[in-house]
Amino acid sequence: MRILVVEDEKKVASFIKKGLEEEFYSVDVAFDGKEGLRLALSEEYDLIILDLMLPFKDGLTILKEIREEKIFTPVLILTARDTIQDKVTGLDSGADDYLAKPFSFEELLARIRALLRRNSIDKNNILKAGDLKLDTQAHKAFRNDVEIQLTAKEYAILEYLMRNKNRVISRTKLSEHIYEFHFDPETNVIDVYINKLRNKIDKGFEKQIIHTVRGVGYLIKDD
Amino acid sequence: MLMNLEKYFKSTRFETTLWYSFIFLLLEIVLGTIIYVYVNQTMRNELDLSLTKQAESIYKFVKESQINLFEFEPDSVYSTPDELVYDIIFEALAFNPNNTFVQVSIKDKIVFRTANLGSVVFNTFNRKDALSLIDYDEPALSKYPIRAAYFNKGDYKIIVAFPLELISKTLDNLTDLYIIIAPLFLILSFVVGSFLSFKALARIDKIIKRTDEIDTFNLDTFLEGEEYEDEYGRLVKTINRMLRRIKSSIEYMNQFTISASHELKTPLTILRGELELALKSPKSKEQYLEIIQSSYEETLRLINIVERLFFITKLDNSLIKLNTTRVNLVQLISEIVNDFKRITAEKNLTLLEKYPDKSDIFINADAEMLRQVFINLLDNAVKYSVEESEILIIIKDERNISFSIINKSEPIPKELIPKLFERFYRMEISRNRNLGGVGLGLSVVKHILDLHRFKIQIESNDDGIFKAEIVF
Repeated sequence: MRILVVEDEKKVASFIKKGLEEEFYSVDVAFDGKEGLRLALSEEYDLIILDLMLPFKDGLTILKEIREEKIFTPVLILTARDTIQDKVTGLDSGADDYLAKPFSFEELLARIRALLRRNSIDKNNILKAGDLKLDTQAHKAFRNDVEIQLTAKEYAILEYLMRNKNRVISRTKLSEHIYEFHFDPETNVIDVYINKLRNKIDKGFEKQIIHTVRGVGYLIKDD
Repeated sequence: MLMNLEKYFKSTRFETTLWYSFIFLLLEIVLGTIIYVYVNQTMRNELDLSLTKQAESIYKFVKESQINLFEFEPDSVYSTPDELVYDIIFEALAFNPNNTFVQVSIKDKIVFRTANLGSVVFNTFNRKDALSLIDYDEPALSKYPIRAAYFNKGDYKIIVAFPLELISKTLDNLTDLYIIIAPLFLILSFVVGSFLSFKALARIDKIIKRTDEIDTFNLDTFLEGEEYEDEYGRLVKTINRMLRRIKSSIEYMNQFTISASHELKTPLTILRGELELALKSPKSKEQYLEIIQSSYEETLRLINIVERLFFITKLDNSLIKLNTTRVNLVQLISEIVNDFKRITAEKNLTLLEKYPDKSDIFINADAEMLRQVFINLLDNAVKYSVEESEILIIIKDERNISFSIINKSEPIPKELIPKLFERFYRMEISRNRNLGGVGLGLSVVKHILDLHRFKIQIESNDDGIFKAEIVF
């Protein structure tokens, strides 16, 4: 899951990035409004964490502009402004959630999980495909209730595919949601990770969960 | 009811009414006295005039009759001189509707007395050719004094007299009338005064009522009636102006609280977030050290913010008194500049100083406060200067003594320059340091300079040349 953090206070942005990466998210950071808007418009994110008071372009303007561009990525506003009016304005401008600083990191993570759930087929923190289970809170995968050890990237790819189960996901799309900004999509690194995942998940099982759609991408089937 | 009455007695309305009645009463007394004196005088004058005229005409008749009345011999027509004289002066007496007392004597022999005199004889005395007006006291005739025109010419002494009874009675009536009317008028004046003061002060009650309703929650409501040009209009304007001042200072305080809490939130967010992450999962020793270092920095930042907030609050509440002394400007500034040399060297910045030849320039100021000003300005210059640039410090002693600091930073948009002095300005446009936002530093500078009545001007051109100039 790829998250954009638009936050001008470098240390705040830095610990958010670190903390999210510990949770297997890939994180891009923009330190001002212009850069934030540019990234939000050009890249594909699963979530945007947006500060309101930003240099060059404030958060609400960014929010309105990305919604005008028909980008409906969930947006969580993270700001020091905490009056009811601020919250109402933020949510009415198209934000999906609002968290006031200083915030609890656990709460931020829970809200991120909640926002990501909205667009996935499973509406709780346990994603299921056949007898494969993925606990998005504990970051653990189980097949037939046996835990499977996954690396961060493997987990990220699996989570993205499971959130979009029964849909074919292209390599490009997958890499877009797994990697940060400076990733070269021409490499075959995704194929390598998929192979590793297959070895861990499908090997020894009669029923395959990860399917390859030739020339298009990958797919996780639920049945 | 009793309370209301007590309230009424203490009210301006009652006081005004009392004053109104008092002045009315005073006017009444003065006017009454004037009328009394005037009526008395006029009536006496009229009486004197008519008595005199009568006396003169009697004399004229007696004199012109050519009859020796002094040696009167009774005859068939007149048995007494009275009858003869009566005939002579009949015409003069005929004009005497008031029934005056008349006594005529020739060479001290009384030749005529009107019947109404009875047994009373007016005293005569010798005066040479004179007309005088005198008062007789003749209780037998009247209990009032009797006014007389005493005409003394040649052998004749003519007295025409009339009691002052009429005048006295008229005046008595006047007094009686006055005594009856005065209290009536007094009551009337009280009622009218009360009514007038009620009418005049009714708007005060309205103003009091409306003002009473105002509290901190509805400071947006102002009193109506500013359009009137009278005292009430002025009062309403004054109250409204006061309300606006209160409102703006409350808004300022709210803004201050909001801004202060915002300013505190950033370091608190960092502290909370980093510490929470540190606790969440085990880290390497280096990572822990990094987090402790960062937390320590943020704690220092918090202390700094709190101290500045406290300083500004003290400034706002005028709790700071200037300790003005003669300050050697060149000495003070070169001291501070020297303290900064190590930091500027670290950042590859060059500090250039340009002072006048005369090495001692004195100004009257609070040395410690001024030190704070220069430290803040230098600190800003060091913080926001682009890498490897120069910071120029100039003291001039020309028409005015002035201090300038010039450095190269990112350009600041022109419209934002006045806002640099606003407290927490850096907050409002966000906390971006590249923009030259300076948080509390410049607002403290401005505050201190305002206290000293020194002027500061800030310029920034498109190349990012930033100049702050203080004129002492």
